[in-house]
Amino acid sequence: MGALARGDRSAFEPVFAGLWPLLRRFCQRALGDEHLGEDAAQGALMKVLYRSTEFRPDGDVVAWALGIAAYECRSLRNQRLRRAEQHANPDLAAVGLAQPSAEASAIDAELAAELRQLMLGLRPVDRETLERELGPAPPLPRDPTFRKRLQRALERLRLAWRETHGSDD
Amino acid sequence: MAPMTDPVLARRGRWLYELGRARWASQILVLVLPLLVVARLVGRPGPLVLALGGLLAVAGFTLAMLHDRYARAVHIGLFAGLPALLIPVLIRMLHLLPLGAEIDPCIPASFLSGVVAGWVVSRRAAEEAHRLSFWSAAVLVTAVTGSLGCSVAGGSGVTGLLAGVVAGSAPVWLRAAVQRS
Repeated sequence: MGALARGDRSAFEPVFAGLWPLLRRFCQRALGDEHLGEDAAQGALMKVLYRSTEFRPDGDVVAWALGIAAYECRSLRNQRLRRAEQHANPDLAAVGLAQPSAEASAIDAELAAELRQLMLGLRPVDRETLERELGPAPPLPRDPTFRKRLQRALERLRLAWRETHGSDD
Repeated sequence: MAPMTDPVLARRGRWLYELGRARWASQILVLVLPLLVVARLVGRPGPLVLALGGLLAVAGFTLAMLHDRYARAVHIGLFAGLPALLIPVLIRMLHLLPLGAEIDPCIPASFLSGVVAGWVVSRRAAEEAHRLSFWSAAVLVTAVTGSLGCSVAGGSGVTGLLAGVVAGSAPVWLRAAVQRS
């Protein structure tokens, strides 16, 4: 492999003959599927040959090639899993990843209600500051006085949360 | 990926191997292109820079793609050709023409730059296993790089450069031959 990495084309045949069976066996064993393993091994071999100039002469060729093959197996397995999930439940696949789940929305709503309850117990100035910061209107520019007031209000809110719930989490 | 027979896979692998080497060899252009910009900035004519620069880029890329030792030869050739590229042009630009001189000073400058380049390339080639092919590749790159500057004195400048390369290489080759015998 070192010779091939340097540009010695006569080393291609021996490298191919040595690596191909090794990668095929490794991928088939790693994926537990003959055809899928063959696909992964082909992909890995192509990557090994394409990136042969990156191989360091003092490196271990087997470890290097198997590292690429392991990555290829993982990618192929993940790809197949994603495809299987989409086929099994197309409605679930249509849910965008950026959209929060129903459970997450319920938790958020519950936390928001608790926070509103706690804010009612704060001093009016703190409540006003927090409402201005968290309100739906676009936030106003923060001057140093407002930043200081916000910091104090958040500290008091945190303290109130700790007294009610025992911890910040 | 569709399953392939071993000969098809080997052919495809060979193609990807060459593609990978081409990607690696294209890094040589990062060195060649700034040199051409410098040549243009010091006032060398556009068509000359284009012609010799194209030759340099193609030769450098091809040699680097062939084998790592030629890639090293291209590097050393570019480095050794720098004085030959710059010195004659600077002499001409700064009007360093001695009064009453019968010969264009760019010609001896080209010759001396060639001597230095020949010496550097030959010393480096002596460390390689394939000396002659390394030396030939490096001298080709040096000659093209240097010609960008030495051509300021016309054909005589380029001839001076080549004579200098031979003169600079000769002692190193002779010494190597004596040591071997």
